[in-house]
Amino acid sequence: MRADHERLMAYVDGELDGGERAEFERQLAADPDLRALLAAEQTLRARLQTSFARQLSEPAPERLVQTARTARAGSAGLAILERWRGRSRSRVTGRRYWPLSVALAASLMLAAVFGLQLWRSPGASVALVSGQVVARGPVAQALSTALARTQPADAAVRIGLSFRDRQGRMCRTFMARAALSAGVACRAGQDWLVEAVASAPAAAGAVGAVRTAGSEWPAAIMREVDQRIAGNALDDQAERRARAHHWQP
Amino acid sequence: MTDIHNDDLAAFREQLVALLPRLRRVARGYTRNVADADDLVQLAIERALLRWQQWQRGTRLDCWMFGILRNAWFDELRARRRHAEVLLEDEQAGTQVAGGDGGQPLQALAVEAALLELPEEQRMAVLLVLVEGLSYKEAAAALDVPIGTLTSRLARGREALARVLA
Repeated sequence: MRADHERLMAYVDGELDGGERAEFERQLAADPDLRALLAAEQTLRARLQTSFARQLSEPAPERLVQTARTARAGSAGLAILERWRGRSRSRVTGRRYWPLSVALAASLMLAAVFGLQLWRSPGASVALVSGQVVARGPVAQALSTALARTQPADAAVRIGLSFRDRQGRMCRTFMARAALSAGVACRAGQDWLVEAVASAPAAAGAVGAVRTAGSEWPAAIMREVDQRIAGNALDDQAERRARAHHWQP
Repeated sequence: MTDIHNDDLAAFREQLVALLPRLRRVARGYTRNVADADDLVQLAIERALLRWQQWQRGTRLDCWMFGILRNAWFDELRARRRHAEVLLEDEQAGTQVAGGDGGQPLQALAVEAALLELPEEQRMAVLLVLVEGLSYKEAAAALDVPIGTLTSRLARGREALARVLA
């Protein structure tokens, strides 16, 4: 089975030679299960390539372009210098000099990193469903049931605003404390689709301390709300009505 | 002779510039952090230029560079262990990270997140073969492992991805 799978992968990856390839294709023609596995592998490969292609359109930081164009090029005999330079650079201290550009350049990879925090945090979770990020567990629970006005101040998942977006869907902002993540989720059927995630500042002071509403929400999330909201955020009464209707449009 | 040398070097530098997006992408696979990845790419470029004459024309520069990236990363890890440094995440707080342009980026996010969650060995095998399009032989060389090791990491990585993304 393992050998079969490796051969299937080798086929998808173009690693079989002519004879092996022909033989595998004969096998394929006779085996619908194998064809289904093949299709799944090809889909996975295509999804990976599409997803990671986005990173290629990010412009490279100027400092890297300058390094490539101007950094000292070696001639024979520079091996010692190279070792020395390798050592002197080894602590990766350069970052401090480019925090702003780095912050601006940080896009999907950070999303992935913060997304992962949300993933891994025991008290808050999201899941991938058909390639979409769907709230699960305590996050979904809070999105469906909590009311902004009456939720406990120290809730593991807090709700910020509830609003109707321009497509008419009900959306809510949430903050998962343990994951240091905040996000916007919108209702789709019985699911909450997580549409944006950002890191939330670590709680200042004691856990459970009452905070001023709004001040702790990442600006990125508030911008997401601004871009989506149609009309005003729901007040307490409207929020109760929406909950009674299970957040349907 | 000197002119040829200079032309070659200039061409080599421009090839590096053209490779930057892919170098950054692979470096992020190692570091899982944008800032560290760019530092790693810088280090790898400096090292590559110092020994650029060791690169054999006619062979793939991307594969050669991926090998240098890997070595630089392992040196960096050793140095970090020595200095007991940890990744600083504070600079990233509050950065906008996703959303704003529809569903597609989130799908990409989901796929990237799933890949980043794999153990490094599987992650890099998948990244080099399935994303960067290296052959098994080339990827094994860039990762400095036997081909059999590469293919078994690749198989495990794929299975894990398929489970998560199903």
